[in-house]
Amino acid sequence: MGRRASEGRFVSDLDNSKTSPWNDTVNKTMFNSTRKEKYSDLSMRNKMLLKIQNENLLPKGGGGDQPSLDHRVFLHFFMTKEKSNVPKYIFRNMIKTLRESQTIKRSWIPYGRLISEILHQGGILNTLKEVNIFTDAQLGTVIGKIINGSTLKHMKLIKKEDYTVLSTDLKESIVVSNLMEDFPPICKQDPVDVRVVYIMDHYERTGQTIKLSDIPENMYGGALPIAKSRKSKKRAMTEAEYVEDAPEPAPKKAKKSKATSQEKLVGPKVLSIQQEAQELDASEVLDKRTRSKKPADAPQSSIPKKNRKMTIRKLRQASLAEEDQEEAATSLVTREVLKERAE
Amino acid sequence: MESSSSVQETSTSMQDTPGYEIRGRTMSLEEWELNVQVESPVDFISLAYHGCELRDIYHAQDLDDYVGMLNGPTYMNLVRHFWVRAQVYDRKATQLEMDEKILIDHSLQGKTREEMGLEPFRCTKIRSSIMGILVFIS
Repeated sequence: MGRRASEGRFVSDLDNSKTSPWNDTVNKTMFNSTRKEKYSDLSMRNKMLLKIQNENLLPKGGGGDQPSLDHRVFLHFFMTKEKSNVPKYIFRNMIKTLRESQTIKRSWIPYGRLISEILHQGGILNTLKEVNIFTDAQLGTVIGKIINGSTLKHMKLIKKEDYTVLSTDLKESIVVSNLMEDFPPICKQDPVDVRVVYIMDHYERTGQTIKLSDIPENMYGGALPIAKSRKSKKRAMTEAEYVEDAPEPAPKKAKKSKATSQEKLVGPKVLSIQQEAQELDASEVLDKRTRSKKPADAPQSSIPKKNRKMTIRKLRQASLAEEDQEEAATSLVTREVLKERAE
Repeated sequence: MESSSSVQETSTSMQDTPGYEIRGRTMSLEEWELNVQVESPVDFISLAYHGCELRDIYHAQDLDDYVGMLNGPTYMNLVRHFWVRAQVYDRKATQLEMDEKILIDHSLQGKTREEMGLEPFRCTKIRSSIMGILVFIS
């Protein structure tokens, strides 16, 4: 909100009754008439003011062409340029919607951008960016739709052919605003002398005074909150988001699911071929699949007993033969050595 | 100078843990059930070009900073996180706080908030936690 002083006129909680003295005043400014007219009777400028009010200043959720008396009075202040207490309006509206969320489960949050900005000014985003664990996607970063000449066109307030795109047209900006320069890095919990010295120092450097009322009660963005914000943020993430965040476990899961799907595919096929044959478990099926290529790799249990005995015998014989040869070779060597010695 | 202030800050925040408490939820709505309405930035130049001059009106209300601020990122998830933990802290809530203290310790009856070890009530606030309390002055 910047440093908009909380001052000006504030009128609220008016009932919509037709007897309210405000009706006359409001009708005068809105329609230049003594009685309430329809939305379509508003001038282009006033329609736009109402739209901006419904979007940005007093969002009410729902249609905007039938404003309540409160909304109309607020609009009246804008039209007549009588200073109204806008921060108070915004704050009251926020409290009202918050209470509605809590009591009647109204699932609507107004002032998304304003709350974000306050969080940003409080230094929360910087700490989140510093620890670098949250991407824009996880923070759910969005930008509002810009109200410009194109909106006028959509609202049929100007003709289609009258609309021109300007080079100066506002573009959506995701650039975070600079932190307020005078957001004091001190808080009310600092000792008085620290505060005084800081304010003096700030005055010497910038020539600006910091009002005591501008000093926040607590310090944001210190060392302690980083840890807390991490924890609390993690809890808020859904499981899916969390899995997405950690890239390592994901491929493993994929592999597993592939393997199981193969098993599922193979299982029923084999069973259908070998109906009523010996019950096959998955491992045997898998072995049979690979046998044609690499029988040696198959575990022993899958080889029939006869074959197994045969191969064992063969292996033994082979090893025996090898041993014999080795013996023979060594004996040859020894013989030759003996010969040499004898010579 | 700044370093001394930050040192002080950590030490005080240790004593004053409520400033950094993780708050419970204040509503039964889940985060993903909430719709965040994002304000629409206003391009006054384009509007003025098309015959709709509004700058003077917002200038008269001293809202130039506010409308300028609107063109920027909104962090929906943070806002939702904030919202489900938000609590209106008004005079009624402070009275409840005092009543609780008195229930625990009867000798506190009739004492001021400061004497009970509570912070003085200055204005209505919305309190929530992503890191600590958030202060609005109305």
